[in-house]
Order: sequence, then structure tokens, then C-alpha cells
Amino acid sequence: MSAAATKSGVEPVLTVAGLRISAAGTELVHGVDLTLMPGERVGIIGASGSGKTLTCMAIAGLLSGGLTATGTIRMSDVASNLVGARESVVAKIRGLRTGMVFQEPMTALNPTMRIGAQVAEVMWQHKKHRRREARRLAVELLESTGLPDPERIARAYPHQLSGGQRQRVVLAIAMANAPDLLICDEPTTALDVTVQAKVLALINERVDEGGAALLFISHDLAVVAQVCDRVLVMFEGAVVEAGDVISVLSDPQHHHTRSLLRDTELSGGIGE
Amino acid sequence: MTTENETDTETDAVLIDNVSRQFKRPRQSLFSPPPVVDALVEVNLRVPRRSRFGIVGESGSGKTTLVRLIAALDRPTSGRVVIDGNDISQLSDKALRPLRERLQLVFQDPMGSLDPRMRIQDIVAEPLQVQGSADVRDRVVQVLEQVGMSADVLRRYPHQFSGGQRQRISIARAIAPRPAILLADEAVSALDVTIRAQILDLLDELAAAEDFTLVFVSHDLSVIRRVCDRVAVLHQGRVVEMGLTEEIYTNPQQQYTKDLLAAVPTLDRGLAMARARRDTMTP
Repeated sequence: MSAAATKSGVEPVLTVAGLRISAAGTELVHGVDLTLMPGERVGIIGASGSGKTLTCMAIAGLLSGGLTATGTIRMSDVASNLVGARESVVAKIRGLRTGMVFQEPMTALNPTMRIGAQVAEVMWQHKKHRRREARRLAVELLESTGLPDPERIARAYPHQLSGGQRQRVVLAIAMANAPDLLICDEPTTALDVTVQAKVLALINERVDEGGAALLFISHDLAVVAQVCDRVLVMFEGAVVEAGDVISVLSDPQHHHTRSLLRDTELSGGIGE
Repeated sequence: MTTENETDTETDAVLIDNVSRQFKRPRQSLFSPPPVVDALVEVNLRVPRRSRFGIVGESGSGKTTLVRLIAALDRPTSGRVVIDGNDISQLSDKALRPLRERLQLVFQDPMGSLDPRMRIQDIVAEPLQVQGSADVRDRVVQVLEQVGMSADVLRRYPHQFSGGQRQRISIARAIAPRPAILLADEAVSALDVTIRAQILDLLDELAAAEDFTLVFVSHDLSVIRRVCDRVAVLHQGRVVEMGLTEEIYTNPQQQYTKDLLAAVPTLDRGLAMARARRDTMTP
């Protein structure tokens, strides 16, 4: 872990070591190690139940009650280990140093709050801006995510937007405070292929521009390859393969990676 | 009207004949008529019996409107919808009931379409009981086996299963009454790639073994290609391209179909993007 830091002389944004997660005495994640350098883009792929979402929830400090984690999760410039850290410590990081995009934008947004207010909230909450300034910046942020007529969108409620538009709003909120780390958990799985392609392009663009490190979780290797440089393959709670995305895709080592590749491709037509 | 169309209704499971569907939006002003949205515009489709027919399009293309018309949950503004030889555009709700049994649906979200308070055995038995068929229990066990679930699931509830297993249960329920048409609406869109491949294999197997016509609706042409021999591409309420799936997949004629195909994430495309990114970073 520390070798990576000393080699380049740059401190990693995120260092996860020996992360184990259990529920009621059953271990679900068996020791994940992961280092993210500034601006680096890492994907975690695996089927449902492989532990990829649990890993990312632990990093975001959002593990639900009943789940216990051990090991270390460290962020640059934060003294304490985020595993088992007090909520007050994690709350200062979440939304400020890390931005998050989840699969279902409808549940990620507050249905009773106007879009503009929700984007502004994350900025004044972390005291980055005063409320009025945050409101003005919110419209600019919405515009930067390619939403048409951002003034109108800012006044709208979540239910008045399409799924793709909502996910753009969630991304605007995630990027509002120029985080060091953007965590995306299946951000395009609920979207159409055409909308997915646009949202992926937007994630690429925003991450490039903001220089954030990216942790991108998906079951779909073809999607991960579009945005990530490095990939971890999880299977039944363990990382079974890791490497740069090009070599994992073109020369998979683990049989589980190979079967994931086969399923992703849906190769061949009927009766093949 | 009915006599002159006897021939095509004999061979087609679904005939969509010049169908348009308009929806009125709320009135914007007191003095102008309410705006009208054309969800479907003069759509013509023929789904031959026992074929596997795909309908592809993005959100807002009119897919769902078309599904609702085929399932007789909605009526066209103009044109005819002929299902299994019966023009359903004019039939009363009561006259539709026997027809509804001939058509079964599988939806995207199995959690939303399975009653959480019913046991699996009752969920799968329900369409059979409506039909008044004998040997309900034997048939339930048989179809569950067909979808790869053993008899010990009978007394369990939907929440005790994973998303993929729930979709298998939905499929078991749909095929139990031996429908003439199985209508799958984004049936694999909420599943991960591994489960998606398994469910598509299952539908493929069932369509080969059983007697039904499969109508499969999706936004993903690569998914349709896996199970359907024919496909219609829907865009802004119109059919822009229709034909053999393999031909349309390998040689799309319309720009919209090309765009739709280009949006499907494939490993080759992902790999190309990853390489391009690596090359820009290390000149």
C-alpha cells in the first residue's frame, strides 16, 4: 500500500486494507485491499452478492446497522481510520471529500424538495458557500451536466424529470464540492442504453475536469471499461482478480472473470 | 371487415393494423384545445404464430403503449389490434376475459408483480384457478421445475428469493396456463449480467419447448438478438425498421437503429475506449 505512495511521492486519496464486513457472525467480505491515487479510476465488478456494493458502502461510511466492518479505510488528510469512526467524522467527509451516485436516482433525491435547493444544500451544508451563492452555483452546476434549461430544472421536483435527467442531477450534487473521490454504484443500470451512453460520457467528462479519483461499481465489464483504468473482480466476498482494465478484459485469469465476460457479451444469436 | 381479414388473423399471433394512439395532455389554456401527444403513429406489425418477436426502442419510443395495447390494457385511438385471431380494439371488458388468459405477461420488476403476502404455490396457481383447470398442484410443480426451481419453494414467500429467482417464478406463473402469447416487458433489464444470461437462456429454452409466441420488449438490441428471430425498431411512436434480428443487428439501415446499436456497451467498444484513454495519458 505505502509502496505506491512513496514510489510516486503522492499520497493516495483512498487506502483500504484488510476490509472485512460481517452480518450476524457471517463474514460477507473477506479482506479487500484497494489504493486509489489522485485522479485514478478504478472499477469493481462482480455479480449480485459478490460484496461489491458492501465494499463501497463501507468506504462511503454508509453500512447499515447490523453490519460490522474491520480493517482500515483511510483518506488523505484525515487522521482517523474511517472503519468504526464516529458519524461526526464521516459526515464531514461525505459530500465534501467524497461524492456519491447510486443506481436509483429517484430514491437518492428528496421528492419534496426542488432540484435547485437539493444541489445547493450540499454546498451550504459543508459551508463551502453561503445559501444565496449556493443557489446561483446550483444552476451553473446543473448546466454543466448538460441539462437543458437549467433554470427551469432547478425549480422542478424530481418526479418531473426523466430517469436520465435525475441521474444528471445526482451527479451534479456529487460533484458540487469538487470531491477528491467520486463513488458510483451501478449509476447507469436503471437507464436505457442510449441514456446510459450519455451519462457515462458525462461521468468521464466531469471526472476529467474535476480531477477526482473514481470508484465505479458495476456488474457490467463493458460499462466499466468505458470509464476505468484499473479493475477489481469480486466473487463471493473476495477479490479474485485485479489489474489494468485492458489486460483483465483481453486476458482474464480467473474462471469467474471469464464467465462474467461471456455473460456480458451475450455473444451469438438464437440457437447458437 | 372480419371476413376479409380472415387469412392474416389465422397465421398471426398479433396483428397491429395501422394503429395510432394519442394521449390528451392537461389543457394549458382555457381558450385552446388540450395538446395531444402521439404515442403511436400508424404502426403496422405482424407477429407470426410461434415466432419470437422483439420490439426495441428507448424510453419514450412508445414501447410501453404498444405493450399495453397488445395486452388489451388500453385501446387504440384508431386502427385494429388483433390478438390470436380476435379484433380486441372493439371488444368489451367482459368479452376480453377469455382472451386475457391466452396472453401472459412478465414484467421488469418481479418484486412489484408478485404479491408479497402470497406463497409461491398460490402465486403460480392463481392463473390456473381462474381458468378452473384440474390438477393445479401438479401443473404448479411442473412449471416450477421447468424454470429450474424445486418443489421445496412452494410454501415460501417472494421476499425469500433473489431477483433472478423471482423472475423465474414470474415466468413460471406466466407459462402455467399454457398461454398462446408470452409478452415480456423489459424482463431482464433489472438483472445483473450473469442472471440476465441465465433468464435469457431459460426463455430461449421455453420458447423452443412450448407452444407460445414470444413478444419480447427491450431497450437493448443485444438482449433481443439473444432470444428473438424478428425485431421491430420503434422510435417516436413509429416503426422505423423491421425484419430479421440478425440482419438488422449486423446491417442496420436506419440511422436511429445504428445509434441504438452504437449505444449498447460491448467489450470491444469498452476495450477500445480504455486503450484510447491509456494512449492519451502516456504519449
